Amino acid sequence: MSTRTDFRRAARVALHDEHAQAALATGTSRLRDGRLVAWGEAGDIAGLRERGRQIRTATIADLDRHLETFERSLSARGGVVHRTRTAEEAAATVVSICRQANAHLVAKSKSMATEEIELNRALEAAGLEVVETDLGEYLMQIRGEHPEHIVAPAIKLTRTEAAEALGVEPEMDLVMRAAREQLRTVFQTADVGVTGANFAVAETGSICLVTNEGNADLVTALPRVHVVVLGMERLVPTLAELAPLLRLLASSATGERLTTYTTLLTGPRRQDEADGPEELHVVVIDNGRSGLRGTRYEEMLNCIRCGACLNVCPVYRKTGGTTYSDVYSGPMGAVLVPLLSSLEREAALPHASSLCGACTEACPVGIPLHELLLELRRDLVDRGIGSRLERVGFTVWSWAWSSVIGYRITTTLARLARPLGALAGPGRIWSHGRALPRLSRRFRDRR
Amino acid sequence: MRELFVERAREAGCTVLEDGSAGIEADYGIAETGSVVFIAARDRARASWVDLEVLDVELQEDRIVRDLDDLFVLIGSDMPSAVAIVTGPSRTADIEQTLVVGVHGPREVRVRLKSRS
Repeated sequence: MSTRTDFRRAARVALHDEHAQAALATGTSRLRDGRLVAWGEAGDIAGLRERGRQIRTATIADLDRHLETFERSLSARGGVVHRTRTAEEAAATVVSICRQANAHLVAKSKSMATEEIELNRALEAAGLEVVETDLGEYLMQIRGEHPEHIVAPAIKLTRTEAAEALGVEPEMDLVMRAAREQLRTVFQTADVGVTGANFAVAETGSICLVTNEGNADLVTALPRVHVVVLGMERLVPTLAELAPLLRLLASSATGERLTTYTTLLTGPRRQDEADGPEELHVVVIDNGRSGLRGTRYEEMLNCIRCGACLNVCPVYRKTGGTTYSDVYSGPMGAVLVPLLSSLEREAALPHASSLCGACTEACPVGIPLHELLLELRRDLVDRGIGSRLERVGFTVWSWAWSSVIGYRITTTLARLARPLGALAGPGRIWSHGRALPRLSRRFRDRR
Repeated sequence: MRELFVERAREAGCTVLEDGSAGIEADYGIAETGSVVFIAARDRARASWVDLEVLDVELQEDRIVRDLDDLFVLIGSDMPSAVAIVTGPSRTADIEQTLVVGVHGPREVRVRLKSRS
């Protein structure tokens, strides 16, 4: 996990990687433009976003009841719900389901929740083979990397790198065919299919999954056991409320009216059905989420994981996902990761923002992301975490500028030092590559 | 609704044909999104709508509903085990932001509209 120094170092590496800079610029612009076009065509987008915000807020406010309803509805359809509190408990639950199924090979469909609980590591430690089936994630897994964007995991990967990972010539068609063939075998021979869930519908006990590739449909159709790792906040009370959220998710994530494969699964395969899993397990993860309820960070639970905030963030667009944590990146990650793990350990993330507010403007469900980042910075100060130099500096500044004499001395010094051309000490980081503005005369001296 | 379905399905990358018959029958169509809807059943494997390079779909015109909301009203009272709403061919832009079709599922979706007359 990142620390303050790690974020800076990783960011510096990314900033000097010309290829990464170009790939990030193209990738995030394409996704952002797609969203803007789709929002433009959607008719009453403001109304849809407000409806989405209301649905999410009302759901989170009454989450316990919706979780109970979901559990009851799914159990009635033959599914099994496992409630877990920590990431470790969640991963161990999935491992034990796989062991009971006597599984050897696990096929996965893209899921940030499984990244969050570090499921692959737990499954591999238990001797299971795990294969990601989303094309981007499959390539990242072969290369030993983590997803860099919650919607476009391999956003910086080149065609040549993709071809190398699969052992073919760098032609897009060959890459596709190789991936299709290699993964087809995985779908057919996997014992367990593991997915996340974009939404879970309480009234019907349904899991809703969206992919553009169709891999989730194969992961949930062919293996004998299906395990869903469900973030506890992903519930939607009714099917009627699911429709607007699906429109918001598709348009905000990839600029589509609807994601190519939008699938609703309600229980395991029923009697006489041609295929589908014999067992369906839903592992509900809390992992720090219930601790946000009733706090000023509760709105973060409204997030529908569309990635729109990443694509407009001036920090993410320059540094990419590797600088954040291994899981969530961009503004939503900078808010969520410290909240779910620990603010002490992730003290760098609330600072990974210029507070410009582009994330808040892009968020389809109106989460005030930049305000939450500012709140986290306040918490850092209140708890005395972070740079001692910064605290000393602000104490001195506050003392000096509280008196006329102090104000005169410091502003005079600043004007006199101006010809030196740049700030000294830690200020150099800021002034490197920037020209300092001329300090004008103090207002009181202008007469 | 038929016109809107044809327009939106074409925008989603489907080929829409006015006649002929082949392939598998969709349970519903959605005009709002140009989607075809498949429901798992005894004679309808879940893999059947993903596991082909070319998906030939037959859709009865009177099975086209206006939007997602109408579909959910129709199926919601007794949810089937699997409902797939398919909008165009299987696609990805994972590598170099280039749109490529057919990575797991069909690279082509052909929808044939049929009227009951």
